[in-house]
Order: sequence, then C-alpha cells, then structure tokens
Amino acid sequence: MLWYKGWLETRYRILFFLLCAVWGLGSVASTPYAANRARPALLAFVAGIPGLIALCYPLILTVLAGSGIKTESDLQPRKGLHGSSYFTLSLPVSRFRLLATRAGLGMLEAAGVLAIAPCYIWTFFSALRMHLTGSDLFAYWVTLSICASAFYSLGVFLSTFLDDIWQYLTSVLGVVFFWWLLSRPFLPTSVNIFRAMGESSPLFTHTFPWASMGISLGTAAILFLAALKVVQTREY
Amino acid sequence: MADPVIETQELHKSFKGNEALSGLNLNVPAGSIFGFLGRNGAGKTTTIKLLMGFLKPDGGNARVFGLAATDAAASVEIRRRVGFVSEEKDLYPYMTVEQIIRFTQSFFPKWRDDLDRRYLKLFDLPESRKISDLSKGMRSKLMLLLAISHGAELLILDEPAEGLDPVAVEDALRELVALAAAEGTTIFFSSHHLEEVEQIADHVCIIDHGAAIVTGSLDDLKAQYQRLRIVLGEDLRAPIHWVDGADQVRQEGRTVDILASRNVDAIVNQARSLPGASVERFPVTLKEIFLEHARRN
Repeated sequence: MLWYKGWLETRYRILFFLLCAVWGLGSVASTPYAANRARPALLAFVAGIPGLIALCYPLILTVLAGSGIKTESDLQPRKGLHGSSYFTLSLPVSRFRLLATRAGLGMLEAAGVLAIAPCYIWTFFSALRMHLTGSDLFAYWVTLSICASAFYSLGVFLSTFLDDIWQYLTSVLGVVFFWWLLSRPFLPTSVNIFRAMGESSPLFTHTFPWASMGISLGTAAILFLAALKVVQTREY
Repeated sequence: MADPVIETQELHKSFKGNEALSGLNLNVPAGSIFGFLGRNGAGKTTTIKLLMGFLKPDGGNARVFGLAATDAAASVEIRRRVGFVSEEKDLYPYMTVEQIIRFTQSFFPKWRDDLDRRYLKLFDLPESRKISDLSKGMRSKLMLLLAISHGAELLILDEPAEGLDPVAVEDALRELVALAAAEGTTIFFSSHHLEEVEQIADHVCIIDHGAAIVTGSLDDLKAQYQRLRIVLGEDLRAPIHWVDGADQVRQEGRTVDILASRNVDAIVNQARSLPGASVERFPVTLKEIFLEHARRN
C-alpha cells in the first residue's frame, strides 16, 4: 500500500511531465527537418533528440525524485509541523522500506516517462524503422532508464535534507557538475552518462554502453545509501 | 504490580542546548489508563516521540513492551503493537476516509473490521469524504478510529481530545474506557484537560521541566492529598509553623485552608491541638494537585 500512497501523491506530476514530453517531442516532429527522409540527415536530427533528452531529463528526474520522496514531507526536514509524516512514521515500516518504496516507485515512473523517447522516434520517424530495430529502441529505453538512475538518486538524496527550492537549485547544479565532470578530457568517453543517452546510445551503436550504465548504477547506489543514512539518523 | 508496558529510566533529551527531558523515569503498568500531564513545553510530546522512535535520546533508555525504543528493528515491532494519535492530527489530505482505512489496515494483520465499522458510525465519519475536507475534530476522530481498529495492545495518544466537541469527547472517553476494560488495552495519553484525565485515568504522571514530579495511581494520589479547612478558636498573632506536608496555606481571619500533600494526619492533629480549632477534611481534584505542583515548580 505504500506504492499506492506514493502513486496517489505523484500521479498528477507524472501526468504533467508526460504531457509536457509528448507535447515537446510532438512539436519537434512537426518541423521540416523531421520530414527529411535521407538516413544521414534523419540520424543527425534524431541524434539531437537524445542529446536534448540527456540534457533535459536529468533535470526533470531530479525534480521528480524530490516529488516522489517529499510529498507530504514524509522523510523531509521541514520548518514547523511535519504534517502527516508522524502518521507515516508511526506505521510498522522501517525507514529503509519507506525510502526504498518511494525511490523504486519514482524510478518506475521515470522509466515510464522515458519510454516516450523511443515511442516517439518509432512513431514520428517512420523512415528510420528500416535502420533501427525494435530491440534497438528497447535497448535505448533501458539505457535511458539506467543512466537516469544516477540523476534520480541525486534528487532523492538532496530531497532528504533540503527544502523545495533549494533542492531544485542544487539538483540543477548537480546535473551541470556531472556534465562538466564527465566531459573532462582525462575521463574516457565510455563513462560519460550523457553521451550514453545521446550519441553513444544503442540507437547508433546497436550495443549497450555498459561502462556508462555501470557508472550510473554505482553512483545511484552510493547516493541512495547516503540518502538512507540521512533518513535513518534523522529525528522528527 | 503488572509488568510495565512503558518504562523509561533517566531519559534525557536536549534541543540546541535546551533540555526537554532531564532524567524522566516513567512506569506505565499493563492494562492501565495512564494520564500524562504537564504544562506546555514540559516534555510530554518529546517523551511520546522518543517512545515512537521519532527521536533518539541523549541519555537513559526507553522501553516499550520490554523492547528498546531506540533500536530501529525493535521500533518497527513496537509500532506494530501500538496505536498512535499525534498531536497534529494530520493525515493524507488526498485520501478519502475509506482509502485511509484500507491503507492503514494493510499494515496490521490484526485489524478489526467490527471496530472500524462501529467507530465510523459512532463518530459519524463520511467514508467517501476527502480528508482535506474534514474538520480538525473529524480528523481527530478518524485518527482515533485508525489507532483503535488495528487491535493495538497499547494506545499512545497525544492530546486525543484536541478539536473534539464536548459530546465527541464524552463518546471518545467512554469508548477508551470500554476498550481498556474489554480488551485489556493499555492507554497512555497526554492531555491538558484535567477533567478528562480524572474521568478515565487510573494512573497519572505530572511532568515538569522534563522530569516526573508526581506519579502513581490516581486513587493513591487522592488519598495522599487532602484539603483541610481549619477554623481557629481565636485569632493567633504568631504565624503557625505547620508540619511538613502543608503545601499551600491560606489564612483569612480565623479560617485556614491547607492543601496537604503528605502527613495529613499529623497536620490534622497539629490543628486540633490549637485552642478551640475545628478541622474539616475534603478530597482534592486532580486539577488542584496539578496546579499546586505547577505553581511550586
């Protein structure tokens, strides 16, 4: 039932992001560039979409992560009264389970939002269907979801000790920092999570970017454990 | 004496240097209805939060059902057996009454459908109404329903009657007493309303500045405390030095009112030894005991 509660709390926000994503990508598909049927031109155009996704989705995800965890301030610090958090905390549920359920639900919701990207490409770029298989698109979606986990966990972590506006600001800064760090020349491009969601995604390489996915999952695990530590030691 | 359901020893808790609890010792017997009294800021809610595992003590220990309230795993087990009503009375505003009942029920295998049906009717709670549309009094009733219906062995209620109208307070108190009698549920509740506490509690603890200043069974306390009215046979010029235990002494003319907290018989004998004095003894209310200690501290 914690999943149900989480869904009730986040459904409108998820719906909003879904509508935004559909509208945004639909607008792009209606441009004259999208009508170019030459494979190189199409691929170049489509290559820009994952790049856009790589830029925008981390930001959206960090915001989603915040909403997933902190709605009704269950686990979040807040000035004054804690609202219904005392009711939640009085349930016979460990703080690990509370956090894991919220984070798990948020990741599933994020994966749902991310599924729009491959669906969009499949729907609006019919010319690419001869060059891309369904499994390429599926691999692309899996890659997006796994690479997004690092950013989602960043949002989860920040939401455990920061209030709304600060969480959003630091989330954006965190994503920009990731971007800057992973673009450094001394780091191999194979670890760049942003590239893995864009030009190095399975759409173009037809293979999983294992290193980036591993880095992302590792980072997500570390951030989740840090969030758990904060939540378990917090007093309410 | 029955095994304690709640036991704290030398419990200490500070917030930014301000001591909220300063060595609280508490012993709540199984099956009792235990009133937890104190002024605002005395440490009642802090104690309850420590027992529920929301806070961690700086020193001392707190046990519920013999389990350490500070241990994370034990705290989950404690919460499985405890029904809790918070001071805020806040629930999820986006759920309906029906939804929150089903939601809460899923965590408690011993949920009593008969009780939730009974209290829905008694408290006149509309199942389809959203919690955001309920008054504070209705939310208080709903929280009581949720706390009681899961078959808890212990109810921890922080100001349970807050926001309830007098009729609802009567209903709630009556149900709590019936529950304690029928199911043997221990009820530990804080309240500012001394009449309520006196009406249903069999044990009380008065807390002040984070420490228990009076604790025990209500009957014992009432036997221990008495109000004495002494009418002196003649005006005495020299002040009377009463024996230890005469806490609150007021003299007007030849009439002396004393609130005695101990040594009542000795005070009576002293009064009777005064020339022409007559003594009447009156039982005291919990309010008088509370006010006496509140003033003294």
